Amino acid sequence: MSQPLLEARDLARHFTIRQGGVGPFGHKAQLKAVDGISLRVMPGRTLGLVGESGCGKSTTGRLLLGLMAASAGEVRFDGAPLAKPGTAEWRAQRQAMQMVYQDPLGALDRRLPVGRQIGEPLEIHHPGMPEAERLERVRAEMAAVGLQPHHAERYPHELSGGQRQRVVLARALILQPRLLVCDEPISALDVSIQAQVVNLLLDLQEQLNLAYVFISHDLKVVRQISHDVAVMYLGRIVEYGEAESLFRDPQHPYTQALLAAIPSVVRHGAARPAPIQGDPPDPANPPSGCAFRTRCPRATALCAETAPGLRILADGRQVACHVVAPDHLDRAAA
Amino acid sequence: MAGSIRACAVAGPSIEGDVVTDITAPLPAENAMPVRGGLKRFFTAFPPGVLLGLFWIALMLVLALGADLLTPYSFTAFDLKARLQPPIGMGGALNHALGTDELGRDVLSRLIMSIRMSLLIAFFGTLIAATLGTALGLAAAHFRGRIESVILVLIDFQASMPFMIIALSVLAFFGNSITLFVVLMGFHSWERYARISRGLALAANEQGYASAVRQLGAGSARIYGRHVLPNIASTLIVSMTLTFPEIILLESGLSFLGLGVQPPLTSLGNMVGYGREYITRAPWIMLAPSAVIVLTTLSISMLGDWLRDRLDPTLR
Amino acid sequence: MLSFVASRIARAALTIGFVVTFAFVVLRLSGDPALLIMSVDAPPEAIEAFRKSWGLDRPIWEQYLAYAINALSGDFGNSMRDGRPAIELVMERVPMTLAITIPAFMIKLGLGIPAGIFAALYRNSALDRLTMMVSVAGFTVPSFVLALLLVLVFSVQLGWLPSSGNDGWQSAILPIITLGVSGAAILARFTRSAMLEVLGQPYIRTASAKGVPWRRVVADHALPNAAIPTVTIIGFMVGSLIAGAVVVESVFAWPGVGRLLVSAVANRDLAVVQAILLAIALSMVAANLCVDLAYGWLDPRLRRGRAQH
Repeated sequence: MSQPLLEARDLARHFTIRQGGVGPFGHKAQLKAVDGISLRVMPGRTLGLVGESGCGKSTTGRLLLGLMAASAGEVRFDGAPLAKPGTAEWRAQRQAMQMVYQDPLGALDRRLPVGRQIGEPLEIHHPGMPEAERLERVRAEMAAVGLQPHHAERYPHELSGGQRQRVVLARALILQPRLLVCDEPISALDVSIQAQVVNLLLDLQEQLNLAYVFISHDLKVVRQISHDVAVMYLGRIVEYGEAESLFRDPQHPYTQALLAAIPSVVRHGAARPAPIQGDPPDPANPPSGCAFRTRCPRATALCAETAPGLRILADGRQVACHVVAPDHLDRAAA
Repeated sequence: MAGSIRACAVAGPSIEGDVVTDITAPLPAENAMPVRGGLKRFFTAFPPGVLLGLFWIALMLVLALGADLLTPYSFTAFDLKARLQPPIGMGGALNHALGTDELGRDVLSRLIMSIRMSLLIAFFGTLIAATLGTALGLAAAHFRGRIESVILVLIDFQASMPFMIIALSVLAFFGNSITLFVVLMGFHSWERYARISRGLALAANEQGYASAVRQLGAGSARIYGRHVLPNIASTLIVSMTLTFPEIILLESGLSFLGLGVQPPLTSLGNMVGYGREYITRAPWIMLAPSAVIVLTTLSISMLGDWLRDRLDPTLR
Repeated sequence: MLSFVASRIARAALTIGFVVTFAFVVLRLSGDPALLIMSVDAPPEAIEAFRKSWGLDRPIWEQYLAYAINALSGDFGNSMRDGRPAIELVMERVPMTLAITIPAFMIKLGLGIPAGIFAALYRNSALDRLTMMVSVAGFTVPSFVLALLLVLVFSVQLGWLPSSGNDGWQSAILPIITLGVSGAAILARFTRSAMLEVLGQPYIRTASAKGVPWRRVVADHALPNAAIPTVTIIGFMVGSLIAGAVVVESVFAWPGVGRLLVSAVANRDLAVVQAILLAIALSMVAANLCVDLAYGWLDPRLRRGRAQH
């Protein structure tokens, strides 16, 4: 097996929040936005990261890129740990890993023509590059993402949502990165445009051998684009495995409930699980044991006692559930 | 601002057929209503009140810049034969168009010098307040943590005390000099800029373009100089149109009390304070500078409101 | 709720501490107090003795502590001019100031708030335009100009009212009008925009769409919500009851705190200046505290502290 491009081990991010009161009078609480997750992304492959909003998937994306300091655990990119922000190594790593945002209008500077912004990474990382060469690279990159040359003079608000997302992509790609973290890249777009952007991402992956971490709550798109999928619930991974088999035969009750919410995905299965009920629990006050037990139709007494760890099933999939993957099944999830 | 004008000029058909759905893009005022003739369009874009205000501000600037050439007399020259001479229209003569004071000094000449002094103080005061406040606001947003708390406490303090009182106590402790006075005026309303720039920079750092550019690997100088400052500039400029008249009022208030600009220098408030002694016999001495204060602050406020509507509809 | 009150009180105490520190720092920065108070040609031994008696030879933090304790117990030393304790001089002026600022405050509330509310409810009516015009004037016409114009009309031209001094209630009328009118104009503008903001909210439209009578919509939904921002500026006005009359008192030679402050500044009577500074800070902070507590009462969201990162 080849070396993973990106690997996270026991990654965690805790926030300290104050509750009930201002200043020194509130009591502090730990909010575990991300609580010990491990995952790996192979070169040229896509890892889908799914879950309800607030489950920590965006935080995970930022941790993976080193945009936010981890409270515990580590991220290795191409075998090397992430460098400290602001250092030269950090700058070098930035060139190889980029981010695509949910809100392209917010991610772009309203006061600069988009051509300038697409070329900005070159200004930052190759300050000596002649302007003509830079403009040529910008033109080429715009063509690669399907923008017309005259768009370079436009300002972000003069473009459509799909065009803006193409601009963000072009800016991310101009340094020829090997990894893109896409944080809900299409959820702000019109449905008709979503497919175009997804196809563009697939084409680019094929041409450039890009690896993606694709964060989304849209399971259909995740299924279409991902090789592997990790399902997150309240800061933890509850199911992680090869995309096609995970979608065909979800094991964790939470994954099953998520998939049940989109009728077209689960085709057969005699007892289709009911779509998920209620709201996720307060992340600052998670339930004891398994975080999902409060909404789980199959919860047992054990679920309230201890949190299940990830177990590897026969097909190589990892599931964290006392009912589906009991302790005795296997011990070895690393 | 350039962006909004471009918007109507070049928003052509887009490729791939997806419609421009952005309703937040500023609509140019000209397109908001049916256009009937150039003149009407002109007055829609530039209301007469704003034009008058602009004209008045331009006049004040010309007077301030050309003060040395435009004053008919030296502002300290006595004309003892023409003491308390009324202005034209109140029985005066052409040689002293706005009359004279009790030492026979030409009110018009003094007024022009006062305009220059008051505008200079307000200009530098505004500049200092904007620079200081913006720098502190950006520092708070950049460093967070303890530095931010300290700056927030300072903002709280400044906002909770009437600045007139702070200014008076500083003047009491340090005495008065024109340099100190200008710097002191610069501390008026710095907290407004600190608040604005901190808020906008925080927003940009959290989710927006600034964090995107930082993620590309950009350094702080590029982020703040190239991206954040140009983006918040219009909001800051609109705030400056609030601060400028406020400083004129504050300066004239203090000078009126005899605690601001000191003789032989003269400012608008100074003239009013001085003229108040002669309110019965020679009201023109105080009326002329009073009118200038009111018209100038009024003009700048109107200009500011207009600018705010055009540049920054999100502000208040 | 208790922790909310406690945190506000802590903040108020912090502000007072800040004012005391500010006064101390500025006082020390402004020069050697010994040289400031003693004459320049005093013999060195006398200056040394002075330093010792005032504790100026002790370490700076000890001096600060002593200063803070004295300041908070109202002891700022004696006025340089008439040798009486500064705090006494200030306290005897406070009623004079309140005699004009409290009636003026009533005018501000009685005139400004209704004008603002009705201007917003009948937007673009003649009343609205008049309110806006007067309120613009309230901002652009400085109080000393307004005061002098009133003197020009009512004292000089008509001779109805005294132009300055303190001879009976007639003397108070012009100062009260000056303060009241300009404050009312500002308050009207503020109330109007707060009202307009609230009237544009979806819940107002929802309420009136549900068929709730407009009068009830205004009384039950619009007014309480518009009150929240308005309370801030009213609080500032309450806090300014002592501080806000500096210019007007000086114009009318009204013997209040403001005029005392101006003459103390002119004479560099530092003890008096500091006493006034602290008195004003206390009144501002007390008013702010009341505003904060009123907020908690008006806006239940604020009663529970917000979670923060």
